[in-house]
Amino acid sequence: MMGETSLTFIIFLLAFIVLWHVVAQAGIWPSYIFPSPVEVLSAMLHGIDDESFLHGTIASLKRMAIGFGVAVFIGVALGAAISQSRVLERTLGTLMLGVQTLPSICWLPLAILWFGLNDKAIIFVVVAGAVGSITMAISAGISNVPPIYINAARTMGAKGWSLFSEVVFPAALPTMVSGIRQGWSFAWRSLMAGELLYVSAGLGQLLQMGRELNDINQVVAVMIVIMSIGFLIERLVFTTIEEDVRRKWGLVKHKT
Amino acid sequence: MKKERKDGSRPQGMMAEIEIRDVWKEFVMKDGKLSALEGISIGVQKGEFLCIVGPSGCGKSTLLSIIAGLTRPEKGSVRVGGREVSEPGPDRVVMFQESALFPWLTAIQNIEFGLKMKGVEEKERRRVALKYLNLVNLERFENSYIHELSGGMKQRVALARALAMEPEVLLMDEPFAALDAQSRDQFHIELQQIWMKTGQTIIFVTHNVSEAVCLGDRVVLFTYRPGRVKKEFRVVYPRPRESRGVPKLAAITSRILGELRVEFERYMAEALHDGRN
Ligand SMILES: Nc1ncnc2c1ncn2[C@@H]1O[C@H](COP(=O)(O)OP(=O)(O)O)[C@@H](O)[C@H]1O
Ligand SMILES: [Mg+2]
Repeated sequence: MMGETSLTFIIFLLAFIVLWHVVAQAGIWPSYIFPSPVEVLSAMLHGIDDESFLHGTIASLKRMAIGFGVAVFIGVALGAAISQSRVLERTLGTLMLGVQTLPSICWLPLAILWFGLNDKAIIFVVVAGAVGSITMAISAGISNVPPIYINAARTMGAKGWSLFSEVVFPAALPTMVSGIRQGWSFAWRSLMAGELLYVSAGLGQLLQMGRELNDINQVVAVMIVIMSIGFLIERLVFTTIEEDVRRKWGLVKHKT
Repeated sequence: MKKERKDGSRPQGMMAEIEIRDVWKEFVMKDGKLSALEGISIGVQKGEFLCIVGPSGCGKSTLLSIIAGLTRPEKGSVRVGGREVSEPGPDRVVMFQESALFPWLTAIQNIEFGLKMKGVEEKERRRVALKYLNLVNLERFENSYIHELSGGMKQRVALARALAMEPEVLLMDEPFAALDAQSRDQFHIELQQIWMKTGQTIIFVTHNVSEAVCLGDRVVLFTYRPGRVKKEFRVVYPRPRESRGVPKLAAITSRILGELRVEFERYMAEALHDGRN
C-alpha cells in the first residue's frame, strides 16, 4: 500500500516538473521571475557542491535539536505538573492556551532584547513555538487516561511511581506522541521565520541571501531543501512513530 | 488449591471472611445528593460464592468498589480477613465488565502485571502467568495484543489476570454481561470449575438473575435506587451447574424475578408519587 502511494506521488512529481519546464520554456515570464527546473537543479547542485546547503542545514538542525529538546523537557515537566493539579490547570494551563495563540515569531523582538542578536534568541523562539502544544498534549494525555485502567492497576497493587510509569505513562503515550510531533512542526516553522528575520547561519539565511543576490534559482532550491527536510522528519520520523504507537495500542484498525 | 467441593454446600463453622457492616454511600451531584447505598450489611464466608443481583443503577458496582478499597463509604465499614479495608490490596482483585486490560501489553504481559507489582521475579512471573493462561484455554494467544482478541477472549485474559494474583477474594463486576449467550454459558461452567479448585471467596455482581442463581451459593437481592438488601436466597445444587434447563434453578430464578417485579412496582409507584408532588 505504501509502495503504491509512493509510486503515485513520483508519477505526479515527474508530471509536475515536466509541466513546470514547459511553462518556463514558453517564455511568458522572464527567467528571473519564473525559473526553469533545470536552473533550479543546477543551483541545487551548486549549493550541494560548495557545501553551503550542508552547513546551512547543520546550523538549522542544531538549533532545532537544542530548542526542541528544551521544549520537550519543559513541556513534559509543565504538562505533568498541570495534569496533577486543578489549580495549576486553571491558572498555568489557561495561560498556556492564551500564549499559544501568539505566533511564536512575535517572541523574537523580546528575545533579542533579552539575549542580544545571537543564537540564544532564535532558540528561544523555537522553544516558544513548541512548548505550548507539547505541554497541553502531555497534560491532556495524562488527565484523559481512562479511570478503569488506574482502578484495575490499583487493585493489582500498583501505586506511586510504578502506577505512573507502568500505567499512566503508557496509557497517555499516543496523545503525548501526537503533541510532540505537532510541537516539532511548530518549532520548525518558528525556526525558519526566525532565521529569515535575523540573518545568521542556517537555511533561513540561505533563503534570505538568495533574495539579496536576486538569485531566484537559489531561493527556490533552498525552499525545496527546507520542504524536504521538514517532510522527511515530520512524515518519516514522527508520523511513523505515531502510527506505530497507535497501531500497537489498537487505536487504528488494520488497513488491508 | 484449597478445598474440593462436590456439591453446593459451603464450608461450615468459619467466621465471616468479608464483613460488610452498615455501609452508606452517596454521590454529590450538581442538583443535590444521590444516595447509592443505604445501610448495606452482608457477611460472606470464606470460600463462599456470593452473588449480588439487582437492577442497573442500584449500587452494585459502588459496593464492589468499596470492598476493593477504591471508594470510601460515608458510613460503615468493610472488613476482609479481619482487617478493615482502607485502600486497594492484592488480597482483593476486581474483574470489571468492560475490558480493563492494558492495550499496550500482550495477553501474557497483562497477566503478569499484578505479579510484577508484587515484585515477583521475571521467570516465576512468566511461569505463573502461563499456568493461568492455560487454565483459561488461551495458551495460543500468549503474545497477542488485546485489540487482536475477541470479546470473550479478552474476558478470559481478564479472568486469568485476576486469578494470577491468587487473591483471597475475587470481586467480579458483571464480567460476562457484554458476551454472547454461548460464551457466557461456557464461562459459567468454567468459572465454577476453577472456583471448585481454587476455593476463593467470590463476590459476583450481576443484573442477570439466572446467572446469579447458576453461580451463587447464595444470592442477595438489592432494591432499586438507593441500594438496600431486599432479600437473600440460598441455592443448594450440585456443581458445576448449567445456567439453563435445570428445573430447580429455574424455580429459584422465577421466585427472584417475582420479588424484582414487586420491587419494580413499588419503585414506580414511589417515582410516580414523587413526580406528582
Ligand atoms: N462516581 C460517581 N459519581 C456520581 N454518581 C455515581 C458515581 N458512581 C455511581 N454513581 C451513581 O450511583 C448509582 C449506583 O451506581 P452503580 O454502583 O454503578 O450501579 P450498578 O453497578 O448497580 O449499575 C447510579 O445511580 C450511578 O449513576
Ligand atoms: Mg455496575
